[in-house]
Amino acid sequence: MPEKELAKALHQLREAALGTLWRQWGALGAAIAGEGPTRSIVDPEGLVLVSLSLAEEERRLWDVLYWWVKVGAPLLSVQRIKNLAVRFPESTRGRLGVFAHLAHREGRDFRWRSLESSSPGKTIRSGKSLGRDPQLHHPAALMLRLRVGLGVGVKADLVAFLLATGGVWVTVKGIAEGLSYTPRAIHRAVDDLVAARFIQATTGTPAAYRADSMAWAPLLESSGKPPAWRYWPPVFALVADLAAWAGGEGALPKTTAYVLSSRARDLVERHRIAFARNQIKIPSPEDYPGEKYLQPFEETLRRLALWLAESA
Amino acid sequence: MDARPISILERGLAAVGDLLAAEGVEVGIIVAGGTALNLLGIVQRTTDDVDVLAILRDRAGSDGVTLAPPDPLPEPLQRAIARVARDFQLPEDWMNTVVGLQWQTGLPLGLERRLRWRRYGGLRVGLVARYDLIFLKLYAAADSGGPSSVHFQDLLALRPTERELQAAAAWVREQDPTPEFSTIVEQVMTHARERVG
Repeated sequence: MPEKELAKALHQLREAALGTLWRQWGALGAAIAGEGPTRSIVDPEGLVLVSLSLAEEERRLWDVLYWWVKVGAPLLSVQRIKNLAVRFPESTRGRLGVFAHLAHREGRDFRWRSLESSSPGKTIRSGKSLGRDPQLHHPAALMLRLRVGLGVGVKADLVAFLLATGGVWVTVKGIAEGLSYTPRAIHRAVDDLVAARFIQATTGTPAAYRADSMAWAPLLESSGKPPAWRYWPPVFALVADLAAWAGGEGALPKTTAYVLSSRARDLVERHRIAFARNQIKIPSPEDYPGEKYLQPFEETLRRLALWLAESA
Repeated sequence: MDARPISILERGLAAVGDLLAAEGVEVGIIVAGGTALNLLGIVQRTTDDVDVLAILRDRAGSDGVTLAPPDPLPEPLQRAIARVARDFQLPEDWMNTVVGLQWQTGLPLGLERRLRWRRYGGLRVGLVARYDLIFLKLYAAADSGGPSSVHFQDLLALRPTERELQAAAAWVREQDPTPEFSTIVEQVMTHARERVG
């Protein structure tokens, strides 16, 4: 029964994804039980989007999202979440409207008006206390901390990205892809940051940029290297698509093994970038015709689950 | 296009049927050529593609069907063909309607009543019957190459009787009434008689 094995692999991935989410929310200061250490930088917009994606299955996520509306929504980039949301399923974008409604009405943040649902149609639990303020001094919260210091926008995110990528030289294209800003916005920001000597640039073409983590360490009061950079939004978009496909709790649509394999192929092709950017090695769909791809797809899900557990 | 075992193309037909069924759609096609010959058990050879001669428009009654030219193929079928091409590493035109040009001059009379039907999920496949394949293969053999052509070999495999050959020849001459073509048809029939015995 290939469907049974596939459902099992989907369930394992869902559990790994939820584990990642709780760890990341915990790193941002949500008073929740069971979170573990966080090894990579939290991408706040990506985290909100994937939490919205899984919130129907994991109702507790609405509690943490509501908490974030109250304490953290002003630290989010509305433009960036809009850019990233296009990669997520329709259902996630619908829930983003609910989140925006809350951020506007209850968080008193008018930037969210453009994303707000006219009629959210959802009752959000609001009595649960998950902590007061975001925790900005956790190393994994570097992106948010820099936004507090430098303002919500491309410059803060760019410095966080360059610090977390370990001092390697990155081109404007690489930064733009990593952060989901336009190359034009990145160009303007790197010019300013180089002029301010916040980051360094090569003189070649195309120019590449890096941040010296040792130079930033005293300012950030950090003793070592920042947590690693992981390209979370494309992975989260895949997790969201898988959740939408499986309809929750690994309940796959009733169909033939071939049709399942074909839909699985669609998902991997659509989200290839999630694997490529994060260097997650997976079986190539082209090597497995028809329903023969189902088993390699299960293996793909298992490798992704393992990567989530090791990277969060 | 590379020739491939019929099992691969039949798997492709089944996959198309699965996809159509998953969409809740039913489509009927009429298949001629090497795929029909193989699926009817007349030949066992590799074939390039699935030749769609017609589509099933609707049921004209309990005992009849209405055929229509295959171009354009219904959209759900086009999507399924493209998806199966991707999933099985087949060429994009692994199922095509080139043979549908036959509608310009007409199909053998009564072809729709002699079809042999198969079902693959949401795909109904009408295989052109042996009798009509003799017509189409005689035409193709006369129209393209000599005795070594695959069409002539298929014609031999169909083992036509003299009566069937005569009926086929009358229809083929209607397709191209020029004296030159009539002579070629006669030559092909002579070769076929010699080989079939």
